[in-house]
Amino acid sequence: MAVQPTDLLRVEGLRTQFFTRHGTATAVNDVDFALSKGERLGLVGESGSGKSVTALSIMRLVRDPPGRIVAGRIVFEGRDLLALDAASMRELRGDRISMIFQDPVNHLDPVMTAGDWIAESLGWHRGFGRKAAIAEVHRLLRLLKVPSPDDVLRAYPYQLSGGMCQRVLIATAIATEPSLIIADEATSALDATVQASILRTLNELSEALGTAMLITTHNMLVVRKACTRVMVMYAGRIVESCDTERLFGAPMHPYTNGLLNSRPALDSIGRPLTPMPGEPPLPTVDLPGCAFYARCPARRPICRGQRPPLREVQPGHWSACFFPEDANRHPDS
Amino acid sequence: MKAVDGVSFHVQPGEIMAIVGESGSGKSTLGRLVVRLLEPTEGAIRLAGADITHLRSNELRDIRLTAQIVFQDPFGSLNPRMTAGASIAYPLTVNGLYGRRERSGIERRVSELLERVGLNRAHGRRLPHELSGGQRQRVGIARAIAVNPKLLVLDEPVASLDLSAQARVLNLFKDLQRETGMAYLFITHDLSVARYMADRILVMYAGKVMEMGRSADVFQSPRHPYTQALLSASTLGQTQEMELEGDPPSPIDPPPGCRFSTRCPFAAALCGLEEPHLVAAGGGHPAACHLLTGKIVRAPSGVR
Repeated sequence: MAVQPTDLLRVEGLRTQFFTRHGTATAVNDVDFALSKGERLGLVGESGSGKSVTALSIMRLVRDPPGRIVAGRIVFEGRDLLALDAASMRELRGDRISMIFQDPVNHLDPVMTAGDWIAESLGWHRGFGRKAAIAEVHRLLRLLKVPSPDDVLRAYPYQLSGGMCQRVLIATAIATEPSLIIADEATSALDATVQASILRTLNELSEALGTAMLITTHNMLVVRKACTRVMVMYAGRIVESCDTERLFGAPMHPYTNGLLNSRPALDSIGRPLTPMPGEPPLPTVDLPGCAFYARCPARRPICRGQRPPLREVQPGHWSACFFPEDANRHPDS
Repeated sequence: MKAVDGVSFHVQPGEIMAIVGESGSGKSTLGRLVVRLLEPTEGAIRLAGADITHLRSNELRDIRLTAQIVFQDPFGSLNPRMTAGASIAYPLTVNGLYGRRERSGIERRVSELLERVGLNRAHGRRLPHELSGGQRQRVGIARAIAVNPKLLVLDEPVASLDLSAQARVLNLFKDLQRETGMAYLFITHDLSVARYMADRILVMYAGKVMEMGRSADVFQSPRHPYTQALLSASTLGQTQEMELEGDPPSPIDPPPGCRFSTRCPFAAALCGLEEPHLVAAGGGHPAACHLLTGKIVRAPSGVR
């Protein structure tokens, strides 16, 4: 994809593998994408698609062994993160790029109060003294519409709800005014109404502070509520990328279409679900053609032997399919 | 702590009733009470005409043939040391449907059940860790329907599955229901799933029923502010935006009056003092809200 001057993050040819006794699993396979300043980009896929490993790779949090980033560049604010030494990466992580995860309660230190937790980040990255840190934590919690910041400050994680823990983590993430926040399934463990509230908060923060977001999720509703642009991943590769509304209105990859048809829609009663048969290929298997071939209702012989490249099939709309016009084909036709 | 507080409802033969709620709503506890994995502190449960509220263990064995349960976590609810086939066969022998020596009879029935849920003999020989999430859930379903129950309690049966597996299992539930005429008590936090599956729906919040009625009615005309908020959170723009802040209350320390008053955008002083009753005010389906009985009125802007 063409390099833009407003690229905050550019991922080029990223390949992350896991070396196991069952073989080498390629979790992220030749992934390219770019994210502009202030943009909210969604990365959607089912389990095993590679979306979380992509997020972890950008933060260089992939545990080695058994995982390793074996190829590619991750250019953030002009620097290749993969070329940085560990100390420089540690300075950057939690400061310029912050991350929030799926299971908020278990991502907080159980023996630290929420206040101490957030203050620690401010002390470490920004050199805040104790008093200044507490004042700043107050400000951040109020920004996140936490009704009684004092109570939350003094609480231990086990005393806080999942939604409140996630707000504490978001406060920590924005405390250092990062230019990018990566949210990896950050609302998956939360109730529907709490999830809606957290997504609203992330949207408002992104607008107010100009922070870019990379949001990974398996939930299409999250993408629709929080992302302006979305990429769909399947078997370690990006198979479609476009504006959010385009994806929902006129998808151009049969897998995306399959995903959309797997969800009962609240507004269309009784329309039967047409789920995709089969399972994704194992990440240890490297197929010559399209990874979706075995499950694709629109497949042709060429798809088995040749892998369709990710190309721009319409302006701003990328698809890794030889026949994107057939994306909406019904499985029974 | 009242996990479930004053809940009354009935399920007709062959009906699918969805219980919808978020964390702390009491929906899972309700499911376990119905199959008597838990004993109620107060109230009564009647299954196929029999009062099962305080049955003891040997008497409970009889109801196992009438009501079964499928759990959310397919991995945790299957014995890791039993093959899928053995897990499915277990209720057949334990409930006296087959003697342990009737090998061929049992094998035939297990084959039949595997096929019913879209699995084959090879799957039957595998251990749980050798199956995918969707396949494990199917084993749980086969095991539950093995005794031909009249009622199947499904506790978040698709929540831990991927989208494609979810859709396939939901379709399986629909097919099974059509074939056998079983009634379902379908517990879920996911409104879209409830809408797709259920004839009737019961919305719970902090242990109490907020609203209940025919699925189409509740979704088209939600009467309770909580239902409206839940719908708003689960869709995009089709229903009016209703934003809630905060979290559901802990069942240990519920707020006084209406449990939803602390987050309700229409809450008035009365709501924090007096709990509204579940009534079918104005000819609609029942909901528990003072707005509906006219005890309070909506402020002009509709928001607190």
